[in-house]
Amino acid sequence: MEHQFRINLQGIIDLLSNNLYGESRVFIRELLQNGVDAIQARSQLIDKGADGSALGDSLRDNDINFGHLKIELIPGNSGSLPVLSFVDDGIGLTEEEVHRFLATIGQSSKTSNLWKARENFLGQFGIGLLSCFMVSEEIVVITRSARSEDAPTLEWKGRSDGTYKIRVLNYSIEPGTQVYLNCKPGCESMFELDELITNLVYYGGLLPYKIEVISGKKRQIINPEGIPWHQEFPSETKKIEYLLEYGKKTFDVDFIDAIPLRSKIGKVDGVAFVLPYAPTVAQNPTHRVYLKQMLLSEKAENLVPNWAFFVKCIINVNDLRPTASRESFYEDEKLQKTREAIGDNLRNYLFHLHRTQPDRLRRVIQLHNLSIKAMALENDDCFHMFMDLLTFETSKGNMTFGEYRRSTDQIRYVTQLDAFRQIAPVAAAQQIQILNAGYVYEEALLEKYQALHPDDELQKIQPSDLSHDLEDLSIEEREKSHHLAQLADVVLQPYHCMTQIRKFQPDDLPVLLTIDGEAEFRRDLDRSKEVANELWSSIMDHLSPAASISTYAQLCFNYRNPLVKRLISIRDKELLRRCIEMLYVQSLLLGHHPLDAKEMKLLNRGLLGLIEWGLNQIPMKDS
Amino acid sequence: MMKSILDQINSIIEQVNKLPNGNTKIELMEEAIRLADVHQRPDIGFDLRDQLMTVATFCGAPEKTLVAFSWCLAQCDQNPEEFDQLQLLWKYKWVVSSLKYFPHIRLDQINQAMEDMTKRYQGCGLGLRPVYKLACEHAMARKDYPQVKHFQRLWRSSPIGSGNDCAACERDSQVGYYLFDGDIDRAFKAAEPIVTGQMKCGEVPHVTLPQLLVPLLRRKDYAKATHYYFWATRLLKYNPDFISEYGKILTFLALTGNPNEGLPILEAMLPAVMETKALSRRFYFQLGTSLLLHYLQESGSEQISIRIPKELKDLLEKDFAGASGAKEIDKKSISLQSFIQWVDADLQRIATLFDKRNGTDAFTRNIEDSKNDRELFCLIPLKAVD
Ligand SMILES: Nc1ncnc2c1ncn2[C@@H]1O[C@H](COP(=O)(O)OP(=O)(O)OP(=O)(O)O)[C@@H](O)[C@H]1O
Ligand SMILES: [Mg+2]
Repeated sequence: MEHQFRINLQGIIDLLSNNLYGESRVFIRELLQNGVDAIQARSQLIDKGADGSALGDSLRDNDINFGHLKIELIPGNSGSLPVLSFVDDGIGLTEEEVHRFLATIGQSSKTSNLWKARENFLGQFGIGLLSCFMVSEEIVVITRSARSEDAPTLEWKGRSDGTYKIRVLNYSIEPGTQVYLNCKPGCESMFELDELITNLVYYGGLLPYKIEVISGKKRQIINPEGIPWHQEFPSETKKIEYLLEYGKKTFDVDFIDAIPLRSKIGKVDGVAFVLPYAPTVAQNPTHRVYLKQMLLSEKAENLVPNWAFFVKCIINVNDLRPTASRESFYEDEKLQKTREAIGDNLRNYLFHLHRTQPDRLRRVIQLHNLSIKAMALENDDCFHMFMDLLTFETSKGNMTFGEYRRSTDQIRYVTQLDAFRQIAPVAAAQQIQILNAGYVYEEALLEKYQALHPDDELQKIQPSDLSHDLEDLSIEEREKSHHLAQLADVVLQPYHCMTQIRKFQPDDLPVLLTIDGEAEFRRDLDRSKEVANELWSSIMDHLSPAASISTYAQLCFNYRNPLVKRLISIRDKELLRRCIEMLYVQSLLLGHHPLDAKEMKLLNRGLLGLIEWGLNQIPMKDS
Repeated sequence: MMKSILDQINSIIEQVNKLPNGNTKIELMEEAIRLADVHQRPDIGFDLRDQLMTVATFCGAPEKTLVAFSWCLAQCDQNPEEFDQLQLLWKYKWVVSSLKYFPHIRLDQINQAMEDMTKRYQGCGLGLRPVYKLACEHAMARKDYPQVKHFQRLWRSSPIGSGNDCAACERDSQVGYYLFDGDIDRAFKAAEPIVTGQMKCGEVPHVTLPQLLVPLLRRKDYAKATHYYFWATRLLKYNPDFISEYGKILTFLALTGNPNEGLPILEAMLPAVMETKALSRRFYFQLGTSLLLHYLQESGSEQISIRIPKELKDLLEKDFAGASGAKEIDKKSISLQSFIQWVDADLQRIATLFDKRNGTDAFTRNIEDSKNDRELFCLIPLKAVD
């Protein structure tokens, strides 16, 4: 024998409200949706009539004027809780439809192929109405179908325990549907006028049909202006002013500018607001997206290009498919093209600024350097237009790429922040200009520049490369300092450090220590190895193939420095060794490089040795 | 007055928080760590390394995670009162998982690491499921079938403990296992909650979608393959952590006749590929590169004009120019022939390193298998001309 599953409605409602709906105010969205759908359906009914089919013929004359949603709030008093009614003049329901659609969970009248433009409906699952049970124990629906003139007025009462009653009323209402909700204890806030208006504006502010709230003598239209960016304005300036005001009203942010958006693909339009601050990654702007003028999501994430984090958008979409989670759209070529079109809108805006208000553009670029960098990387036109305007750090301070390029014959850059810090002061003292490309996107931008300008020779340098630019010694100088050079190499070899002697500014700097990226990694690794247990220490030994030259640090002695000159004159090998070691350790410390155990020992031994040596000098002088 | 070390570190961290994951972020973290070390503040150094591990892991610098991890583990062992091992053990999974990228690390070292992990997970009541999963994945990487089966059974029959991966990652691994096992139907079934968006995390479905591309081609489900392609490229964002995944994307593009979509990816990812120490990732990327380049060559191209890292350019000019009829590499375009030779030599070189270490021929066979995938070719124009 076969049985039918029984469903515990309360259980389902709890499930939906905890998992699907998230917050109880979505019942407003669902009721608005159903009202809008009903009006849509009714107009399709009439169109059908116009097509010559039998349906609707008799209705046409008196039904031209509909498309109105009324929401009435009857506040509670000491004895009673408030009541809310949603009234539409849409298609209504026949008795058979009430049983089939209203009273059957998961059944929707909107999925049938009989509809001419079924994709115009917002509802599709047949569960929206259930959300009303989150705020009301009972849903009362009074409805009269617009399909025939003699359709009866019906009353349906559904309860959250899963039972419902239906009866024919003995009076007649205009075609349409009225939904009544009695406030459930604990849900009073949803039935407060201010809250109600806020929520209606939130979900339905852009809807195409008139939505009116009534409470006592108060009446207010929720969407008096329709879609803000569709309105006519006497001038472009007025339009932008209006949109900025709308942005302020909606997000409470004083945006810098408003950019109209439009894409034929996906049937998308809207506004992008330029943020007055540079967003951090943690607060990457989210966008508000409407689907057919009904709010879909507050944080839609894949409609706008990745690089466009200088704007916050409000967008209405007519022809893209939302995913089940309703937080993004289905990824396909159509979506990608839509995204590109939105990207084009944003780029064109900046191009336009470039032509008409270069100062303004400069300010936007300064504020949104990171976003514009990402954008220039993505698109060649943007690159040509903006690269010169982007700010970089150089050994001569911050300047735009254009300024930098004009001030030097050779573009030289480092790609690591630490590398820049090591060499910038010395480079500056030699009048060598080095660009810091260690921040996000910068290295890729310079590579792109090179690719687009193959005749400009760009040079990516490591800190140790700087020594090539420092003045070489003459033959005599080299001969004179030969023993220092030789000893220094031998002494510092165990510390993975090579040495050189050059002449450079400033004179009072005895040595320049440079540690390239690979060498830095080796130092970090060695520091871990010192403490790590046997297993991990041996694993680290095998992490990459044997140490190469690139893992060496480099110590460059300054021949101009008086101390170094005196070192050269020292013949006492032991003393010279100590001095070399101490210069090495000291430059590590100055560069904030942690010392490993060997270097620490060097420091201690060196200090003691020097003290001892100093003390030894005293009696010798005395005697 | 000198800024106190805490102030200095805090101001670095403040900068770090504003940045997207990437090299800049790693470098700043390392700078902060050096400051803490200089001032001998292991407590601060520990927390910073803990953060560094997350950044480095998700930005494609697993060797930095490993180095930081070893340091932290030692601190925990030496000062159990002061340093919380539990927090660290979660990341043990990342580190052990990353050992398979480095061909110079010996198998016995990997096994010892897994034993150590087992001991510590047991000691803290974290459950061994993730350890078995890792063992299974290591065995898959070297195509050691008996071991794969053995650990897969242990993995799937162990309870989910508090040290386990998130549900989405775990599911992704299951998909990976079924694909390895050749059970495509089950792989797709297992992937269902991921591709419908019910299970997701920071790296899922990012890493799942590319795995499914070739299997979809095999099933001739071109619509889905295209959808997953678009979805994946949107998520991967040229993050160096996804080098292998991009290899699979390139394979897909080669097999569907879309070199124009593939070359920009090659261009964007090559610097990271050249730089990575994770050689097996480089290997999987090059499998895709090779297919794409061969496709181009077979369709008649001789030169391609993409931007490549300087060191690679030098290499091509020096070591791989000969066979291409000594054709000069001009500034803008490079000879396809020398590029192909380099890629194929690179594949062979890496395969040999791993196969020697593993005592199997898994990687060499991967090269063969990838060549055989060419029979799946089907022209799917991804960018319809509008
Ligand atoms: N205001 C209304 N006017 C006419 N019919 C309505 C109205 N509200 C609901 N209905 C009928 O009740 C059915 C169920 O409504 P419900 O909101 O639960 O589902 P839906 O709108 O079809 O889909 P969704 O779950 O996506 O909202 C609808 O398909 C429709 O036939
Ligand atoms: Mg509905």
